[in-house]
Amino acid sequence: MLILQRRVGQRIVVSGGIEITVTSVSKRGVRLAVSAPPGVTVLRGEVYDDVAQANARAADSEGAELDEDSKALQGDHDARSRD
Amino acid sequence: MRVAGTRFGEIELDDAKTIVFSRGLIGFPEARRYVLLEPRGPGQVAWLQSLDMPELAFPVVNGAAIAGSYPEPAPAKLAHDAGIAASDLAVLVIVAAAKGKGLVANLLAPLVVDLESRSAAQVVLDPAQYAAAVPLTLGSGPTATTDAR
Repeated sequence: MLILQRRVGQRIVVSGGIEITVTSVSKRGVRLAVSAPPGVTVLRGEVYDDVAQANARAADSEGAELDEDSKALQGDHDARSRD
Repeated sequence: MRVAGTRFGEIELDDAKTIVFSRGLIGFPEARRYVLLEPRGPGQVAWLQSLDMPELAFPVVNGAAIAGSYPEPAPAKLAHDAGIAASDLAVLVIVAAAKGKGLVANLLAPLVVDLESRSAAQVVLDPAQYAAAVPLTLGSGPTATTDAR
């Protein structure tokens, strides 16, 4: 793992057009400005973990609300505009 | 194409039905190709079945069934930020069910799908506005209702 020391106003550049700038440092924490191109997801770690856990719970779903009878399922119509 | 998911057995589908999440779903980066299996009857829960991991499938509902002006920001903006095309957008909301506990909807991180290019992405909305497990009641009619806040 790369560990860097940065001062306020200094940047870290990550390939793919990603830049992280330290904007302020205080006892409460460090403020970072992150810029990234469209298609790159930037999330707080705890939000990422929350979504990953929700996805995992969904994939493990079971219950009467979910119709798992394959005969009751079909491919999507993909034809709202094409039928 | 024959789709062999462990949940549903084999289902025959058109190759063109494949939906590609180029970055996968959050926590599932390796599974990128999916098909959407829709209920034939009046049910509202469809399944996003992985083609790369047969054991992986996510129950989903149409985002249009979520009460209020969901999602915010609008799908076109979400698609742009996610780097996918916006020709014919649909929003899917992943739901989860545990035995006896009913359904919860992940309003925080919907799936934005461009049905024209078949490209898609899971996007994350404002955590101050949406949660990842909101109780969801599926009505008998075409619209489900839920409290988005």
